[in-house]
Amino acid sequence: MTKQQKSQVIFLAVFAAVLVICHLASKGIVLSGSNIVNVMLHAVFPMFAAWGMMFIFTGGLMDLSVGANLLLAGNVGALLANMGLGYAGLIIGAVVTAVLATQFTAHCAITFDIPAWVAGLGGALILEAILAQWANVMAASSNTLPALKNYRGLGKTPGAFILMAVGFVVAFLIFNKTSLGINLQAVGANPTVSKTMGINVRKTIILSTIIGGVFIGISGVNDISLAGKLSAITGLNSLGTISKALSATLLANSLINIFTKPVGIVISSVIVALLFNVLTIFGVPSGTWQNVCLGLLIILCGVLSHLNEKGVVK
Amino acid sequence: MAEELLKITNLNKSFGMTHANNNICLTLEKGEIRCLAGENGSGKSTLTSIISGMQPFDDGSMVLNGKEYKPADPLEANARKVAMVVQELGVITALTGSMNIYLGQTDQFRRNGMVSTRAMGKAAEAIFDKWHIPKVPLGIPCAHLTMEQRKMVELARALDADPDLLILDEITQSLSHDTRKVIYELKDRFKQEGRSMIIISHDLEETVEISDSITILRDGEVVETVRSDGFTVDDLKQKMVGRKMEGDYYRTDTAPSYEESVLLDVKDLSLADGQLKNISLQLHKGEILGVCGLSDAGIHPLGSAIWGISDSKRSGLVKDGVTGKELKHPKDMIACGGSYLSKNRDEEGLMMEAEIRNNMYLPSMQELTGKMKFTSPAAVDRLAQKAYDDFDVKATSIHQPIGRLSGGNKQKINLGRWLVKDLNYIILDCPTRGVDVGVKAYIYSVLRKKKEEGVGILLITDELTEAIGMADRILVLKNGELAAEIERGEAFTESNIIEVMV
Repeated sequence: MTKQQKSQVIFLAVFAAVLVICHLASKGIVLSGSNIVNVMLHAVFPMFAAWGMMFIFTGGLMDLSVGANLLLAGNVGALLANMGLGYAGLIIGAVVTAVLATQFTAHCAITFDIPAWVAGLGGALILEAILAQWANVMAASSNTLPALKNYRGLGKTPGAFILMAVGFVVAFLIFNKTSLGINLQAVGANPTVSKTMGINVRKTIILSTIIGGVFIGISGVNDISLAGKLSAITGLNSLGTISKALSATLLANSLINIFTKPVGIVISSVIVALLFNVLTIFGVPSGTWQNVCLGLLIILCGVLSHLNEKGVVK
Repeated sequence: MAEELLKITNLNKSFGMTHANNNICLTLEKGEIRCLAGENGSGKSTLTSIISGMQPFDDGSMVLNGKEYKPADPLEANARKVAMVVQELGVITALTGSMNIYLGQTDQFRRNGMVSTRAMGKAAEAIFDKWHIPKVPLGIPCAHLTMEQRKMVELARALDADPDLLILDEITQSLSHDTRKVIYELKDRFKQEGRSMIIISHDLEETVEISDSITILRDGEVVETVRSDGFTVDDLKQKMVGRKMEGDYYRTDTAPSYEESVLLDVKDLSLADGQLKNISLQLHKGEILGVCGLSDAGIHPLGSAIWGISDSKRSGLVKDGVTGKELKHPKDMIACGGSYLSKNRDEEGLMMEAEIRNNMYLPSMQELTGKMKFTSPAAVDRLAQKAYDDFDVKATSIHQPIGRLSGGNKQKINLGRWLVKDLNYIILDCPTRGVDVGVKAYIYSVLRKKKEEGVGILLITDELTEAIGMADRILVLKNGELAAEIERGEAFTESNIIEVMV
């Protein structure tokens, strides 16, 4: 057994032990079937958004328009679904919208050579404004943004879980087992060396952001399927939409010495969903103390996963 | 007459106003080992990067194996059996060794759209076996490899092209004495198999010794190509700088000369990971104390351990000889007039994206900070400008980003920013790595001057000639332990040191 495998076993054992303790303390609620299904359902959305961010951020593009992007994507998908195109319209509409939006910010950052976070925040403002304008137009005719009444199978069991399983396999394989994934990790680490090694840096980033866009589109689909409706948000408040996904990404980065990123995101998303669920069961106020607990957990995981890290292996 | 492998005719390359290569003409035969020599900025690295496809040339022509050669990128050069190991570290630390070896070429391991990491690992190991180069762990991220192991990964990558022409740009500077032998054996094998090498090394003894011929460049032009037989290091120095070098690099005295008072006292220094075991040493006033050893001997961890920045837990005692104060952290060392230069200049020494000015004032920040904790920009500018002038840095101004300077100029700044301070001792880890003969001579002259001023210098080096030429005493480390202490005198020979080292 390698050192990494040992760390994985220890981590999962500790995780299971903590769950059992929480289960006992909650008088049998935490690990009850209905609660586990509920937690997993709420983990799917941050998981897809975090996979999307993984493909975008790893190449060096810190695009923070993801929240606004998935809100718009979910609404476009719902519009097409409601127009009679069903699941095909829902998925294609959301995915195409999300891919176009990621390409907009990616091309702005690359073509104009501006920091990606600047392009991302600019993109976020624009996407938020488009959705807000759409909402205003609808309101003028006494309507609202599209609500998804039918075709909500991808937000509940078993559709959401099938979606999650497929998403994991695709994210894992592309990131770890394809030339694109390997090249993406190289470009993110050192674009100059990557270019010297014959990697087409621009192409790698663009392709990765397209894949990232697909995952973000699917996260929009899952979100609107779960919630039924996604409202317009302005003033960069769309960042709040992805707070759990960002937390999962941070947590996955903290666990990088134990799990590869796509796996780390699955575990982290479940942990984040579980944490909020358990704290709510125990009556801890949401928004304040729950976030304190999440912050402490991320720091703790970071410290533990880097505890025995050696700078150099002889 | 031997067959021609590469012919370069009137090749030119400019970067803005700078003519990096000017009408370069060069012919390389099959089975020939050619060294390129020249000061920093003479155009050697530009020329080799053009040959290896890393950048295009402006005009001129290259012919390889009788056919026109104009590689658009390194992969195209590899396809024509030309490969290169670059001067500075060129690995992606987040990826494994085998992924680094096949970066940009991972498609060859693709099965059903997926890259087989197992097949890639096997293929990478086969390169090490085929070329008899020291094995390194290929399945872990390169971040966990030593600098030497990373160089082996780069070498393996180059050798995977099965090159007829292999270019090594200052690779031996990063390697220890024993690993250099591997390169020399590789060179012999290349020669036997009718393959060629172009080698750049700032070790002039090595340049003369290992090559069949030497092409000397100055200011972007070929000065002369000479056969190495009968050509001396002094001849080479003169051709490189365009004037006769005054005196020798090194000290000419044959006895140690330093004062009794101890500046730095190290007792039973050990590292928890076993890289150092119970090392004790005393550095005296006006002494140059050399430290030599093989790659795993622990010479480089010694410098960082004394300075208090080891990754592994340190035990033992490091004490300032003057105040008797225990030194645990760099801050303690700096307060007692200490300084440290890492071997890994670009990653551990300098802020590559920052201006020369900001790199210059870092070690003096405490002195430049006023009572109210403000720093005067004018005072920072004055200090940076003084170091810049004193050390004759070749750049546009103190505001130029340091990353764009040549290795020699970077090292001048790296060392100079410490030497403008009033120091008691300096820990130098390979201070002349990657610098040319002119800068080397300059650094040695500065060290001699500091020695005369009473500064103690701990000179950790992979170059035995450097240690012998400069030190009053040499400590030889073996497997993390102190194996011998040799004092300047008759016993101060390479063979004596190597005998202890191996």
